[in-house]
Order: sequence, then structure tokens, then C-alpha cells
Amino acid sequence: MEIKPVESRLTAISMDGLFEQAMRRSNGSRPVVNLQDVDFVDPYSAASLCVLVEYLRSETDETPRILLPKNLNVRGYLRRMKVWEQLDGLADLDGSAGGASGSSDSDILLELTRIDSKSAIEGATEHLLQIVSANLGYKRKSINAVTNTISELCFNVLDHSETTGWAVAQRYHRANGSRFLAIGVADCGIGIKKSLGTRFRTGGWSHFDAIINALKKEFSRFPKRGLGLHMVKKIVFDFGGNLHIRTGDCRLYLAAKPQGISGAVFPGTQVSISLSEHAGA
Amino acid sequence: MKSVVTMEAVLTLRRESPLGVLATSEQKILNGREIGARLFDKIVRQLEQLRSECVVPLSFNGIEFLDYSCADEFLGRLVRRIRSGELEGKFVVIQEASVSVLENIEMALKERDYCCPVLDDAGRIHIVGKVSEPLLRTYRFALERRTVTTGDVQEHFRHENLATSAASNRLVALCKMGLLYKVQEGPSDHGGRQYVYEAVG
Repeated sequence: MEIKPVESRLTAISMDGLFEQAMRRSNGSRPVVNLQDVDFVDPYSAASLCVLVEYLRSETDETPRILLPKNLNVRGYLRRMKVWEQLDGLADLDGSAGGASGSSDSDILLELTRIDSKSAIEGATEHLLQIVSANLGYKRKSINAVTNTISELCFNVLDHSETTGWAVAQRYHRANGSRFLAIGVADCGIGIKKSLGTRFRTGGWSHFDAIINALKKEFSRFPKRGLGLHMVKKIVFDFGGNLHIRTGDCRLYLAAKPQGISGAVFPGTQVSISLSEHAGA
Repeated sequence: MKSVVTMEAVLTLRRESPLGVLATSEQKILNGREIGARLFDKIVRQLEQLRSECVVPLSFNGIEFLDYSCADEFLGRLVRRIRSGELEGKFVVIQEASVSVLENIEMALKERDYCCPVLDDAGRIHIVGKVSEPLLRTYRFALERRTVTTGDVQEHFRHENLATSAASNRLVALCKMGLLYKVQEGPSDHGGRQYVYEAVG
């Protein structure tokens, strides 16, 4: 069974296609994830690839095989992002995981990090704070926003998903000189609807309803909580960014007006955020 | 309209020594609600040991990061406790917090419609969180005077044609927010009684 992206760029949109292929897989065959034609992977996709591999392992009892990108820049970039390091042991990597250092139009803020404990979140936070103190030209307010976002989303993984996940962040430079920060946090857990279902009657909800409610203040499986996603949404708006939240069969795209896009049902929750570094800084 | 308070307004709130939020050996990065809950429990226990009618500076010295959830669980709950009166005349003021930490505290408090005084490095008090402009002006006036009455407020803001009830409402509101403390009752110039409020800060 081969799972292969339709597009060469892996983003929140094209990852939907991979999730759908994974859900339509035939039983009995060893899954192969073919990334050979991929020439771009954003943070959301890097984290979601790990979720995809985890899912395939659990569903097939086989170790998935990953065909690495032919593009050496992409291969090297993913090495710098520690994607291959995280996938090592979860999948068989077909091809050398080395490669060129990667393009210079992006700066890695946080390499792909497994979120499996509070200390992992503390480590990620400390890493991001060191970037500020290293005075690498990041705006303090931007890094504070990224750090808060990652902290909130990662604690959501630990507190609500009933499993572990991954987080990653980086900065991109546009051709016009502006910069934006991109964050990806993903897990393969119980998903938002089931998490909220421990406290609310979610039987009649769609996955879209679940995301919309989760973004509201004080909407949480735990009473008197529920600030996390609400604050993340505020940060995104303050920084003129956008937000994808995928859970179940729905990926919500939030910029000016929430837009729900339907796809295959896939477990867990995957979040993509981009923040303009100029705005709000 | 002049306020005549024949009793000398005595400052009631004493300033206690700062309580450090962070123990020396503790981590400097505070993420998540569990840590926030531990900080809340620790600080409340220490506050309960103190005699009432005090202002306690909370020192955030050494804290490099405090996320929204931690700030909400710690300070959000603490401010709620102060506002409800459960801490019996004990108040807090934030000090030695970095810009980022203060930013996150403010975001968390604003979400709950709460606020808290902050003592900056220059010894000035300002407010983080949510407070309306009229109430903020009234609080600043109270800080300058240290104690105020309804009559004082009405006189100071006479350009706003503030009615007695409106001036009184401001003081009551600030009291509920934990920014003023009702300390004593004294005669008013109407021949009745009025309360004296002391600024928390």
C-alpha cells in the first residue's frame, strides 16, 4: 500500500490527502509513505507525518517504510528539523537521511520535539527563550507569542488527547522581506469532540462544532478552564495570522471567518499556525 | 462640595515583606495549570499566616516565563479570592516581573475581567488587566491621596458632574476589584456617615 502526496508541497491542505489515503488503505500490506517528489514540508506537515506514521503502525502492526525526498535540500532540511531522528524507530527510512544543509530562507525555532511529558514542554519553552536571549533578531513579543502558543497547544496534547504528540516551529522569510512564524503541533489521540464529550453532550455535534466550541472561552472538559485554544486564537488574530485545526473529519481554517473543510475521518488533533512577525511585535 | 472628615484618616493597610513566587531551587519556567495550582496553594497558605489588613508584594524575580494557563490558575484564582473577600483584607501587588511575564499575566487577567496592581522599578503603581478608564482615574486619585471618600471623588471629578451615587459606585466597584479597602466610617458634610477607602498599592 503506497501513500503518496498529490502535491509536491506538504502543507495543512495536502496532508488531508495523505490522511485520507491512510484511512482508505487495504489491509495486510506494509504501508509505504512515498515522499520522493516532495519539495517543501511546513511545520504542521512535519508534525503530522509523525502522527501519520504512528497511526499506520498502530493500525497495521507493521513498520511503515518512508521513501525519502529526492530533493537533497528538503532531505537535509528535514534532517535539521530532526524529523528523521523522530521517525527513527517508528519507520524504516529508505535512503540516506543526510543531505544538504537546507535552504537559507527559513530559521528553525524549535526542532521537531516529542511532547510526552511536562519536562518536554519545559525544554521546548527554554529553547525558545534562549533564542530571544541570543538576540538573533527575533522580536521579543513574537517569541513570547510563539512560546505561549506552543505551551498551550502542547499542554492540550498532554491534558486532553490521552496520548503524546509532536511540536515544531520555524520562521520564514518572504521574498518581499517580511517574515512569518509557523508552528505545528499534532497528536493522534482521541480528538476534540471525544475530549469535550467527557463533559458536554457532543452526540449531535459535528467535528466542526467541536472545534468551534473548543475555541470558545471556558469550553473545556475540565470546569473553570478552557483558556488555551481561545488564547491561541487571540494570538493568531493579534499577529494577523491564520490557524488550521484538524480533528475527526474536519479541518477548520480560521482567518477572517471560520471555514470548515471536510475530509476523511482521522484520529487526533493537528494544528497549524502562522503569525506575521511584523504585526503585533 | 468639600468633604469633611473630622476623624484623621489613618492608614490601615500595612505593607508586608515581599513573598517570592519562586523558591531559589525551583525552575524558572512556569508552564501549565498544575504549576499554577501549586503556586496558588503556596501563596495562599503564606497569606493565611498573615494578619489581615495588609498589602503583600508578590515578587516574580527570576521567573523567565509564565504561560497564560499558569497565570490564570495562579493569579486568576488569587485575584478572585481577594475580590470575594475570602482573604479578609489581604491584598497583593505584583513586582519584579519581566515584560513578557507581565504581558502574559495581563492577558490572563483580562480574560477573566480581573486586574491587579503592579509596582514597577521606579516605585510607581500601575494596573494590569481589565479596568475601565473612569475607574482607573479614580484609583489613581485614591493612590495619590492614600485615602478617599465619596465626597473627595465627587469634588476631584467635579468637571464630570459626578453625582454622589456615581462617585460612591466607583469606590464600591474599586473595592470589589480589590483595588480599594473600606477602612472606616466617618461623618460626612451632610451630617450623615460615609466610608473612607484606602488605596491598595
